[in-house]
Amino acid sequence: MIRTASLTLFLGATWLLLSGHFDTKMLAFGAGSVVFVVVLAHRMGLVDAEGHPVQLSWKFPIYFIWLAWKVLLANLIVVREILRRKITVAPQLIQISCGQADELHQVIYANSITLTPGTVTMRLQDGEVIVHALTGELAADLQTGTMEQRVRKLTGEG
Amino acid sequence: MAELFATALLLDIGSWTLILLGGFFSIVGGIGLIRLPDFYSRLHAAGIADTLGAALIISGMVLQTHGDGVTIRLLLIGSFIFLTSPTSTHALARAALATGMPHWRRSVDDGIDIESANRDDLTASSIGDSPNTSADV
Repeated sequence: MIRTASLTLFLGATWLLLSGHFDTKMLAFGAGSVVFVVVLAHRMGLVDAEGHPVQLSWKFPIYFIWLAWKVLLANLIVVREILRRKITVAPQLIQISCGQADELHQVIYANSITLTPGTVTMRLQDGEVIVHALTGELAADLQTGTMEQRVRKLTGEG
Repeated sequence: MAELFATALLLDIGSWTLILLGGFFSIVGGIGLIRLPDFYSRLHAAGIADTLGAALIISGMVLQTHGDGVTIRLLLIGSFIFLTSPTSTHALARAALATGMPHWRRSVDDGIDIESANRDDLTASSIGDSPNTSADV
């Protein structure tokens, strides 16, 4: 119920922000399309903890800022590797376990890894992530598990 | 009047700095695409333009707007790039892995038997389920 309300609110706000029309006829069209989309989303089974994760709430912006910082640092490392006079990268595959984490946790974690330059998730199966890392430094940083703990905090387990 | 002018000038300087920096990182990403040794490494170079390049250029453009619908649209475009680029990068990496794209000969030997994991995967997910579904098509 909260999810439906939140989705409706979210879609309505997006419509208002993007349309810029505030006369009655257009508002009615907007309300109609919001209701239509909410009904469709329900029929498709998209309004659940995975499709519309309101439970992350205020923790998501915090995680996002932290991730943006990590992305910036990783970018600088990859730029340095690219601009070296002689390419000295050491591409490698590493395997990391997410343990018993739920699917939302695994997906956020795997996507965060891919978003960070220098590391790309290649497989995600049974809680095991196989990652291609550009250098040993980037691989080691991932293996410290800081990002995994952050995601764990975000999705509210443990 | 003078104050207004100074603010506009500062905004312009900030915006140009961000856009030029974004352009620089995107170009470095392009150089990386050429210089790095194999397909998988090149994905990382493309990631620079996807993340830092795009973020800086869009922030620079946001400074040129006036807090109206254009600003909102730019921020939305930025967040869509951040949500979709890892998905497409992962799809590329996964496809390369599944079709046996070779790794660079000087890659670190990591002892992960990706070949056999991959075979299991193919049998489990696509080949195993296909006889019934292919008849329908």
